[in-house]
Amino acid sequence: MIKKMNSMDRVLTALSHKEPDQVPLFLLTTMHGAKELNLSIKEYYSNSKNVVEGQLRLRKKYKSDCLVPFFYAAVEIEAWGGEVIYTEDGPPNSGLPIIRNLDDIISFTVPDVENSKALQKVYEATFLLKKSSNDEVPVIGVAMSPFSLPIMQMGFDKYLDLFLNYPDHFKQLMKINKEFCIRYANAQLKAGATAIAYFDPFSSSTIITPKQYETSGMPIAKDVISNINGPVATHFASGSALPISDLIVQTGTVGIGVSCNEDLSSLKHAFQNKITVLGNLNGIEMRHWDSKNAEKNVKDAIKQAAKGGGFILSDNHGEIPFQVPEDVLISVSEAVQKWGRYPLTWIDKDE
Amino acid sequence: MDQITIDFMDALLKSDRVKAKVLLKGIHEDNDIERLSNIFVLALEEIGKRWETGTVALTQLYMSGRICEELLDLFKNIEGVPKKEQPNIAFTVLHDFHTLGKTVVSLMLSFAGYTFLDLGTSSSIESLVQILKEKDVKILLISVLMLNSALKVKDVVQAINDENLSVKVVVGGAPFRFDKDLWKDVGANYTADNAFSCVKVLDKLIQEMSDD
Repeated sequence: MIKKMNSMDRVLTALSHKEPDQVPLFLLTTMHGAKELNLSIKEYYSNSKNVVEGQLRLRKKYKSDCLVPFFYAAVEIEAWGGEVIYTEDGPPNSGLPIIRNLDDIISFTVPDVENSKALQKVYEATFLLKKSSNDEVPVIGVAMSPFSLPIMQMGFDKYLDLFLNYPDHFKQLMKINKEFCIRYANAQLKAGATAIAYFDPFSSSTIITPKQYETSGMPIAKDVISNINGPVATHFASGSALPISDLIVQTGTVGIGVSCNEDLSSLKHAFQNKITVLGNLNGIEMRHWDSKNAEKNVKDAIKQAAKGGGFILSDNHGEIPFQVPEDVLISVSEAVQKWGRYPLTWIDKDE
Repeated sequence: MDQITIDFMDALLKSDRVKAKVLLKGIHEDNDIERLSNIFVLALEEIGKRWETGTVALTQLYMSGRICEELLDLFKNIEGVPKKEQPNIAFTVLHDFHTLGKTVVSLMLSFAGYTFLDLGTSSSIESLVQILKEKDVKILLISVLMLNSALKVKDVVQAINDENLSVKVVVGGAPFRFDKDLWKDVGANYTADNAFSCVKVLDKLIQEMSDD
């Protein structure tokens, strides 16, 4: 039996493709902090102290192995001067596009990332969570990839048009977005983040072809990741990764967040001993799981991917929907405690 | 599929507008709009299926639809794809600005001969239901990206029932693909996994409505 580890050691061991004491769990209950503190989502995200308190309480409740000072993806759009739309039961969303036509790109400049009023709350939350962590829990910052950010900056269909038909404007936008991403990621690391989650759904094979990834998403990721001053894990927000697994490993990422629509054992095989797989519980279905479903899904994931380390159990989108009830999350956590102890001898008995 | 359709589909998947146009030259010269729309529909149907199984990317699906739309515009003196016999159909995105799904589905519906009232993004359920009443809409297509938007379909269905309107609701979008029972949970009549299956659903629904 392996000696009990703290979350930091557990995660670092898994990332080294070795077996820690237990399968690490990244239960990304971002918005659930609002429920925990009995606040609306808008109130919850209005300041860093709410997010810090919420995340600390949630970690204690669900025994997750990370702390996440992530607010919402659209906070980056706020930094660019865009609007955010709040709802009472979902992640805050970007409002009207900040790039309405091609000419806007020509005059587009990078905002003052380090001093951005919109991003200060993220830096503060990161600093406070790091302080609370005692270096025993990884603090995971989040940055949208320059390649995926335009979905919010322009709207999905206009960005597809830009990407496919206007290479010069696309190149210019990537130049600006790369600088933003690198500076934002590094500012979070400076504030105390242990690692950065690089959210890049546009790179997934669900959205673009492997050839398009090879000539765009991949070199952009490689360039950005090499300029971020800390470890980076990529997340495709439920997009496919298998067709481009050999390219993803070349970006320098240490991990990949994977989809529930792909076979987890195939993903583990593709990335084994190269990068760590994070996933792949279906957060949308999770809303109507009972404890039996939760246990079964956790067991299945562990069986498919946890042997040999290089695996962190998480959901497939990178954020648990607000509608998933507390008792389901507790069941997930308990199932990991029950079935996730290495060396996972039950798997051999099952087979 | 005949060879022209196979080659046309291949050209679409490679975003090869020039080849796509050359392949249809003969049919264009014959002014055979029915054959043209069949080729579009068959090719896009197959591309849609392949996207569902993960062998085609969204960029390919999107560009295929766009190229077909451009080709349709290029063919002069053609009134358009033969229009289907249909009740009034409306199409909306619920509560967010992510309209890509609606764009792709709209292209497919047009190629299939359906016309519909484009309601853009609906933020107010009351306003939406009011329009359905005024325009005597019988089928409402709802596209969503976020789970919380998908769950609001329940409120739309409730509001339709409260007004005693006879409107069938067809839903689509990412949340419905990740949870296969979600469409039932929210009280929709049908769900469509992709743009082409939306056409099939409409064909079936309209047939049922005319049988009633």
